[in-house]
Amino acid sequence: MRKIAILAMALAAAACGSPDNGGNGSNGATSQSKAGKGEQAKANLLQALAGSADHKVLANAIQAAGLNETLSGAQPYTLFGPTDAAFQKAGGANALLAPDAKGELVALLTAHIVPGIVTGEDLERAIERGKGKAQLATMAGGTLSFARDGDAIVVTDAKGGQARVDGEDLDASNGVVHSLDGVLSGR
Amino acid sequence: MRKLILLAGVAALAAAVPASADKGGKGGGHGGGHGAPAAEHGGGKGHGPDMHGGKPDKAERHVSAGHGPSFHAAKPAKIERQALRREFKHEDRALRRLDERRFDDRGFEERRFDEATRLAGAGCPPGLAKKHNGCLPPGQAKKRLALGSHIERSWFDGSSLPRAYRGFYADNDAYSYRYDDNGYIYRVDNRSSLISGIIPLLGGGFNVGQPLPAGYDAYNVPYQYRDLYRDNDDRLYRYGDNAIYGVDPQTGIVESIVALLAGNMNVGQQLPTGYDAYNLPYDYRDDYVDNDDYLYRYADGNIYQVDAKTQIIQAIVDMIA
Repeated sequence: MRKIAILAMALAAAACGSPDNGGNGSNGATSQSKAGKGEQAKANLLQALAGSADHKVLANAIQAAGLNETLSGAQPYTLFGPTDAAFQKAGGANALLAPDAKGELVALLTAHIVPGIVTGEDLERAIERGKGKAQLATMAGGTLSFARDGDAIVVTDAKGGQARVDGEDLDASNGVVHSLDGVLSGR
Repeated sequence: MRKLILLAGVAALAAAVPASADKGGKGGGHGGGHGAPAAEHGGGKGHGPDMHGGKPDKAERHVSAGHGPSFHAAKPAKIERQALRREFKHEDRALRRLDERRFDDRGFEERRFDEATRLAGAGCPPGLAKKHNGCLPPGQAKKRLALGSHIERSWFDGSSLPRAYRGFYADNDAYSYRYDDNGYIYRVDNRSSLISGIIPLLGGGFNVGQPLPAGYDAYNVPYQYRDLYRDNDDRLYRYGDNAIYGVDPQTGIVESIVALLAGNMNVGQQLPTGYDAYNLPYDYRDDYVDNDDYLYRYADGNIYQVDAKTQIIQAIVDMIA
């Protein structure tokens, strides 16, 4: 039953096609609000991840941590999602997906999630307003710092670990996924 | 799979110790920017940052009395009842016999745990059954320290708490707070060196597939989430450490983390660190746009209006449910 549900979600995500990353940040409410209200069939975060070719490890990790309902519910979240290549670069996720590492896994994943929907434009605007730096509180109780590096946005965790916001964002009905080329640290 | 979960749940009945630590409303979580925890297991008398102050409430008193868990009370759906009848005919009888025995000492919890895990062991994979720990794999089988346990003096050498909790669970004259990598923060009485409170954390004491920690018998979901997450025959919802958990009413096993909360926004206070970016859900962006006078930020089901100059949170202007 669960497998069927996951398959159905993946199909739903695939059917949605490439979502619009759009919006103009805080002052670009119109286009995003229309997207939110008009596209009733838009995939949620879990479905969007399931339909992504670059986030298979992350999608598995979310299931393993028991966060699937969180990311498919009505509450909005922004996920800074390491890609499969990022996990590979960090040594793979096998150890994290082990049953006895669930605590670490939850800590790691929640350190990549922030409340609400922060679009790429919202983030850029915040960095601009913060004179080159913006901070976002994570659901693990920490803070992520964002800064520009040329055209790219670099995120730094509390321990100094860094990753770049890289690749396509996944826009979902209840949030957005910004792809990361690295894995940040947990608590 | 279902069978395994249900079998593991027998252990949960035992381990999900009675009592309720109603953390109520928002807050109740961990430190730093994570709001104000309202209760710890084991009662306490108002020392430390997380206390209600004054005597423990009824639910907390219930903890120390050692009564049985309340998960028996909920009725399963028809199909579930049939399945449970088949799966647990023997186990339920044994547990009921145990329930009928009322111990006022702390040994009750441990004896009940041992009996339930012995029963559950019958359905475990061979390797895990030998461990008599309720089919828990290695690592998850680590047992937390019990209330009243004596703590070695070496534990007092510096805080071991995860960074996010240090601001809130700071040592004081009466208590020290310690962490043992097992997902629980322990409040230790400085005079006696005994554990006087246990605080389960998300990803530790609260983990999917594990029994709900002791002290969460009562429904305690923050108000703004109650329409979404209300106890029913198939599922209970409990709040702790800034997350809401879906719990199997029969077994007391945490099935899912259904929502994460930031727990760090309060009207009248300064906008906390980490809200530099506009973050409103799409459907609310027409109505609440940052401007020279006000900023709007989302957290925990609420939209907050913030004075753009002073950064003081002025009001909750909308709720999302």
